[in-house]
Amino acid sequence: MRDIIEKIKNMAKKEISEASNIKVLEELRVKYLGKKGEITQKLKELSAVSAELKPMLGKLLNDVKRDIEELLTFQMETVRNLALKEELERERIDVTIPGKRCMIGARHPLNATTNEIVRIFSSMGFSVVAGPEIEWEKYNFDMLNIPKNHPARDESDTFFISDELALRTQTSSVQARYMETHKPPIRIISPGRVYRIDEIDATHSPMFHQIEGLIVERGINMGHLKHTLDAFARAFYGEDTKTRFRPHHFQFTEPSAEMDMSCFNCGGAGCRVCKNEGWIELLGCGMVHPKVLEMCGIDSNEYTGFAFGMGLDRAAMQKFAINNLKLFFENDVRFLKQF
Amino acid sequence: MLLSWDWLKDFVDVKCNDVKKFCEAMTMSGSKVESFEELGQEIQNVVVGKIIEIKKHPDAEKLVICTVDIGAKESLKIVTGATNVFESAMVPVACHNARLPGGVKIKKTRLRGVQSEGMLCSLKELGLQLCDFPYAQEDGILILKEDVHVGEDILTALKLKDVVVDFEITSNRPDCLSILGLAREAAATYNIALEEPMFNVKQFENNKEKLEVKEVCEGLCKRYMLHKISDVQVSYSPLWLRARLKAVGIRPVNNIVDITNYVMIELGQPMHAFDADKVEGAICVRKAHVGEELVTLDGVLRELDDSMLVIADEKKVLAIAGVMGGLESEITAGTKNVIFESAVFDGTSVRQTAKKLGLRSESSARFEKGLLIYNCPNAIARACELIEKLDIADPIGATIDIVNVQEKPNEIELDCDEINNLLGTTLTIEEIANYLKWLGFEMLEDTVRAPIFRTDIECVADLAEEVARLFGYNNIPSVPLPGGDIAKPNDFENFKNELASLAVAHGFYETVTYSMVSPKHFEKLLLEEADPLRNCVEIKNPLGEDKSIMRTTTIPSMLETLNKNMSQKNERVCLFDIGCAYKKKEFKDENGKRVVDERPMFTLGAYDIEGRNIDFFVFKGAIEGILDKIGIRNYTFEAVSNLSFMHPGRTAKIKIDELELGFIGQLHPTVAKNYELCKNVLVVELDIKTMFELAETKKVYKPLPKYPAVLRDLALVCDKNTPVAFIESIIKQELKNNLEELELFDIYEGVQVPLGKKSVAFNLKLRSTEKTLDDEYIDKLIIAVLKNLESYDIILR
Repeated sequence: MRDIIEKIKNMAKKEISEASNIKVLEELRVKYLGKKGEITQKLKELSAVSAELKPMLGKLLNDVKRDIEELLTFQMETVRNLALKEELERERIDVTIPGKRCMIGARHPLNATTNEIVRIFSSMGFSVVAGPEIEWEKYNFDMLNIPKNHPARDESDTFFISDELALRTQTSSVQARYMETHKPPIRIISPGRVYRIDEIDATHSPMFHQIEGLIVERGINMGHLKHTLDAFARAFYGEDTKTRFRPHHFQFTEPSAEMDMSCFNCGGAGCRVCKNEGWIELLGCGMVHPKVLEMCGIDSNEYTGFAFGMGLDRAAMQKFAINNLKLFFENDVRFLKQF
Repeated sequence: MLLSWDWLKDFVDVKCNDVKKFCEAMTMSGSKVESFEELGQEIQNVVVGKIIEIKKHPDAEKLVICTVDIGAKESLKIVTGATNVFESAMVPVACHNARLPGGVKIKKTRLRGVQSEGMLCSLKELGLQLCDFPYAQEDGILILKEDVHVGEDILTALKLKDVVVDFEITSNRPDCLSILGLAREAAATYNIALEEPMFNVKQFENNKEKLEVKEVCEGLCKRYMLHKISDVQVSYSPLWLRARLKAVGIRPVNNIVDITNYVMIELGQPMHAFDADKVEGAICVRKAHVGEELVTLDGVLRELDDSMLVIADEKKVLAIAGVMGGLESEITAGTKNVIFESAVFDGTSVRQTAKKLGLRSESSARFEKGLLIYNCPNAIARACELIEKLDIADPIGATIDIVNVQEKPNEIELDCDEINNLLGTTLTIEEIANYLKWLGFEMLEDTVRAPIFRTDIECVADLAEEVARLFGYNNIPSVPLPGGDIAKPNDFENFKNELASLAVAHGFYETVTYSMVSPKHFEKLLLEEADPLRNCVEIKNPLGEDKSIMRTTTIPSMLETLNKNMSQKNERVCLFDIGCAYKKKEFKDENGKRVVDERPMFTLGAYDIEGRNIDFFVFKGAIEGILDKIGIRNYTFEAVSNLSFMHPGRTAKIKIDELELGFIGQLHPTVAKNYELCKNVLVVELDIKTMFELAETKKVYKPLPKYPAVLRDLALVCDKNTPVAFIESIIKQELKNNLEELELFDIYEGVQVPLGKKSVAFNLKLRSTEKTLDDEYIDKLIIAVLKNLESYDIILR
């Protein structure tokens, strides 16, 4: 019997290790270990074996059974791995073939710029408010301390709809509107379209975009103005950006200033972009004129504030190195796809 | 405003040799420098020479050889072809290695065999014009009549060396439109003394000549001064005066006119000079009569109207007040008697007149800003001083002075705390007082008195700016903002941004288009006369017809943009726009009657030349995706054929109940042709405010289903004109909550179905929240659906 067992064992080993697919291996399992399998048969026959041989043969049979089981498992694994490997090989593709793209569009560079600026000021607690584009002269001029015959109100600069309504020439109109109906503390920004009579060329357009900022609280001074706008310039143009404040004049702020930033092209050394000055004019700003506060019903002895306004079109042009304003309004998709 | 460095030094001794530093200092104290130019840089190694001897050239008939003394050991031999040279003439000599304007280099050279050691220069070669040296012969060598010395550098001799700085003067500082004004700023910037000019007015006293002013328009003329000078010798001005005028960009004319210009640039007070003998009778300052005309100094005939202020005598108009004089009464070589005018006219009136006539001048530019009357006599006095200095005549003459307004300097309470609070500084009262004194302010007990010319100083904030600009804006310490409330979210703005993001996600590119359009679009859009879209807001003073009305719909802007892209041969374009349509609508706001409702519109537009990738349903799918994501539910598409510019069979209104969001569809082929577009153009226009009001942005979690879903297909046959939406509505109505998803997967018309019919096939996904649906139950439901459908002649296929 021992010889037979050995024979079965050798036969099994041979057949299993030669098997190259799962189905054959399953059949071999049945052949040797199944209910009527050869090893199972032999185990059944053990009961007829003499008592002294029984332990030895029993152990042998169990060992063989275990060996075959192990071998089967091992071979199955091998065969599976091989099959997987073959399958993977079959599935090989040329990964350098271009992908199938999902169509995705883009925001207009002007609005992308606006959103970025809004985000920076929002982080400093400025809320976004909007105002009408067709505006009362009262808000566009009167309440901003721009008197009736000031040159800024000339028909040659402003598009008029009626005697009292005009296309706003500045987002500053929102200042007056907001202050008239809200009590301090006020921290707002207001981006939007503005209109001035200008023929279209590389740097001018009868419609362009501005963003206005206004803060009115107790104890606001020019130091706050400087810090806020300097922080903005660094956030928007890069941490290395330097700023300087120059005295200037606006009807609705006093003291007034213009903020320059170090040239983004040469870093301040002087180049063609900054006309060799090292500085580029960025925005106008100043402390809200007490007359403006009073006209809006805010006590200028109690509250102070600052306001600023900047051209978004120019900011976007600088940001993306765009050299012609017309591109913004032509909307050639080859242009729009770049952003 | 151009500033001559040489001129500036009459008033203030700026100890700064670096122009760039000076410009920087002035800019930072409030006088912004635009640019500066160093004159004379182009000329090098040109000196004054004296021709000692002239000999004929041995080999050239038209050339002569001049021996020229240039103050060096050896005199130069120079060959020239000029015919106006003579022995003892003083001439500009370009020596060996000289440089001339335009990058010209002069070297020793042989001319027809004779060595020429330099070149005698003409006006042109020195970059000069006849007006700079009126006595010169234009095509000959410049023979100098000035007081020059042999060997002297030509730049010094002809006063060609100067630095000219161009300042941007803000509208609140008209006083800085003068050399004196800028000198005051320079003095304050550097805290140095200013040589204030003294005006001697003795010549006003004598009335030996008759001078009569009859009428002065009080409202438009604040002060009117005339001063008559007799027996003048009109000639050209001396070199120093011509050089200064040239430096600041004013063409020298003759000594009288030059004096008026000189005074204007120096003091900021425009002047005019009339030929007294051309004036007939009394002078008046009045509005022009309709139909009156004047030939101005530039030789142009100007038609005047009754809004324009003029200076006239009893017979005719002499000048347009503050703008330009008349040709007839101009100062010529033959003028014997002169009337100087120094006046203050109303700034707005001058500005409007100058604009109407298209005639802005240095003079009108100053009047426009609003001049002050205190300066009128100063200007006359300075002009008389120059008359005397230039030895033109005896300046004493008749003077008339009509004053219609009073002026006094502004006085403001000096509140140092307020100044410090505004600036965020801790300046002492002494420091503040010092800065103000540098600027010419006078310290009184509790107040400060601004200089008369500083009418812009009205309140403490104005004083704060004066202090700050001298203290230095950049010395003000930067302070972070105090903590405040968080920024309030702006839901509507966020909604618009969200819409934009969704459009981007669906492959659309954003555009920005003009709000103003041409009324021609109405025709191009085939709008009927009564179409409400024609009811537009017009701009009273448009740039041109092209942008003369506010758009009532964003569609034309989109079509123009698509057209531009098509003309660039961009094959496939998907665009979106978020901008307003401006609807004319009368309503009252808190400030009165408004006429415009600004409606932000969400516009999409697309074309595909090949027509393969974009059709109505691709487009509709995009809109559905966007509407779903933005939180708009239960919208319906309702076919419409009454939009003139849309395809009558391929357009739908998008509605929620009876509220219209807008429309979607294919452009009418005629309109496509009108905009030079291909046939396959799709557009959507939705009203964002309506969308915003209807959108449910709040999101609430619904538990995930516990029971399995069952899928069923339903192929139906119906009349080919039955809308799919109708079939869907019946299925939905019948299955109610058990229907989770209903998806159309096929529509078929052809031989397999009867003529005039179509087959419509749906996938149904059924699920209950309460139990597992068994087949029996579902069959019952489906049978009910079919029964309902059958009543509309829609049967199972």
